[in-house]
Amino acid sequence: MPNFPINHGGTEVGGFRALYNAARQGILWPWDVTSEHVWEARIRAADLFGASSTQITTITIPDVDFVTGRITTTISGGPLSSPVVITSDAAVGDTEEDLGTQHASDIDDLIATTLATAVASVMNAVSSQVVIVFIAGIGRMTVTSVYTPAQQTTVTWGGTLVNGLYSVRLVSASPVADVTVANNRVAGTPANVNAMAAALETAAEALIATTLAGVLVSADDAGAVNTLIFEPGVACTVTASVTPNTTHTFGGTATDGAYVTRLTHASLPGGSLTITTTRAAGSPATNTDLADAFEASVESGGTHYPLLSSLLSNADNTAGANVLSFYDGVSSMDVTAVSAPAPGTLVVSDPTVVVADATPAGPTVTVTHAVRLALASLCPHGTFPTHVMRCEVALEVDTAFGASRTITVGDAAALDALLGSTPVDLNATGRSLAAAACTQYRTRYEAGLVPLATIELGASTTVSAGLAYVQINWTPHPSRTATAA
Amino acid sequence: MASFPVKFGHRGSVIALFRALLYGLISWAWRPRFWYRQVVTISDFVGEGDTDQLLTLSTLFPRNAFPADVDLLEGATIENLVLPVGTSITAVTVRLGDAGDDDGLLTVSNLLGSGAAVGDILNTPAAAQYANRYESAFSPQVRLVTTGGTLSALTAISFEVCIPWTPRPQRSS
Repeated sequence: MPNFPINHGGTEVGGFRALYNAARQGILWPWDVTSEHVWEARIRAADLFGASSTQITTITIPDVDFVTGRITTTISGGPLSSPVVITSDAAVGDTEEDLGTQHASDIDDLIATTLATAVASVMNAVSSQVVIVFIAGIGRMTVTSVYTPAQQTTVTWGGTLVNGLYSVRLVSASPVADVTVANNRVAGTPANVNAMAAALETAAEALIATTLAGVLVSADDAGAVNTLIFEPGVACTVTASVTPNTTHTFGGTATDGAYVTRLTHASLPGGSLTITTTRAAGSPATNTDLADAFEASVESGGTHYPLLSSLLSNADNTAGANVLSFYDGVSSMDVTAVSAPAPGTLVVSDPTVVVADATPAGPTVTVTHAVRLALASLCPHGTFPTHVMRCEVALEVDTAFGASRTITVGDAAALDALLGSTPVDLNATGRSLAAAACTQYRTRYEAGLVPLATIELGASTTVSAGLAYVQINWTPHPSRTATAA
Repeated sequence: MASFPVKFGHRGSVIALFRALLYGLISWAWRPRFWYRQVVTISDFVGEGDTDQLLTLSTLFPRNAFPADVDLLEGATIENLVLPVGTSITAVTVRLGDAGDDDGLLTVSNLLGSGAAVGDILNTPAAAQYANRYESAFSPQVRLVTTGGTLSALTAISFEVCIPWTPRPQRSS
């Protein structure tokens, strides 16, 4: 029968016997067995993409500044012989959640084919995040993800509107399209530039189902401006043309002298034609009279300007303003008011259309990487002992791993259960016991702990240096049925 | 008379070591983790006629009292050695604590019922009194609760209570 607690000093022989009996009957264990042992795993920079490592890459799609566009993700490295490209298009009405789901679905589909040798799983647990878990030990994988907003182009109608031919041409290589959307003005309709924009919207969007399918999404108008939004990934060349017809106005105080107008066109002799309307001794009297004279002159056909008659349809005057209307098919006609006797004026006013790129900057997709390390592979003694009481967990960083690199330690059920409820900085050398806030920091029975470390790398997978030790204290458990370590 | 430091390897060094311990020249050089261990079987108690019974281990096992004036350590467990058996009894749960908190060391856990099996080592690190602390006179108590029948129907049960502790330096002891 053991004498317990042991009276070491009563008699030396009795003390030994009591100790022996106590140990034999399980009241205490010899101290070298019951004291805490340290299980230690060494993590070097080279281990981060080694055989015991699982790379986890997270693609985060922003939930702000969302615009129609395309996310292109490229995965390369490891066993992939060539990069794998995955695209997800954000259509009108989509959200970042839609994109996250689409992206995950696309990657998931590819796992069965192209990515089967590289990706273990893909998750979309958080709506705007795609988490790619690569196959353990395949090496460093490179992942880029770029958000390319869909092309947006504005068409702005302006100037002095006249009747004539107007159009907007859309040329796309993929899908192949070369469509000219007519937006002509006839008999004063559309009435103004805002109406021109409304008319273009109707005309262009009517073609989305046919010749512009897969190219154009919308051509909404706002005032005198149309905003053309194209399908994600489409690069479209937009050009607009306006009629050469123009308004030629005699203004100011009618004054004696020469009102000089120049018409420039390749078909004219010498490339241009100068027309002079002369007022002398107060005749023609008014600007309207001057305009009548100009009209009569240019409309005289072969009488005064024989070559012009094949180009100019009419130059009807209304209150001093001639509208120069050229025949259909005449383009690049440039009408210039060269001079007028002051204070008289001569003004040429053209209709205008301006095409400008209005593609938004778009949000940035974030790609971050982490590695999960099976610490048993990094411990010289192999797996963590089974059927033991697991005690304190500590981290010792001997060589920094670089800024923003952090670590947590746990197991598959809770990756930060043992150390790093707030991830521990791997860029600060020294010893850390940042385990007290972790869910499983207390000493507990472990039938078969499989320790895992998760190292967050941030945007870059390049780790040039680093050396750390994860130390897990343990002590035996006096189990009767389990096979104790 | 004790001499210190003890010179090992010399004749009589073991005696010198014990004398040094005896006279306090080496105070608490050895403070290992001890285990209070007690196996409880059906023959150790008489089951009550209801479904809930508290077993005070120091009463059931007066020769194996939990030591006084020690530091109780984290890590108390109960190991399921023999599945409880009893007519119509479908579940048996166990708690471990003391009179102040009957599940302070181990919250309700199955000895029989869902997931229970021989060899289970039941452990509740989140229990209220699980942390290391000084105990002047800790008296472990096990609470058994049955479902489907009363404790008196039990014909078999066996489990081992394990509570780690370590001595505490005391000038007066």
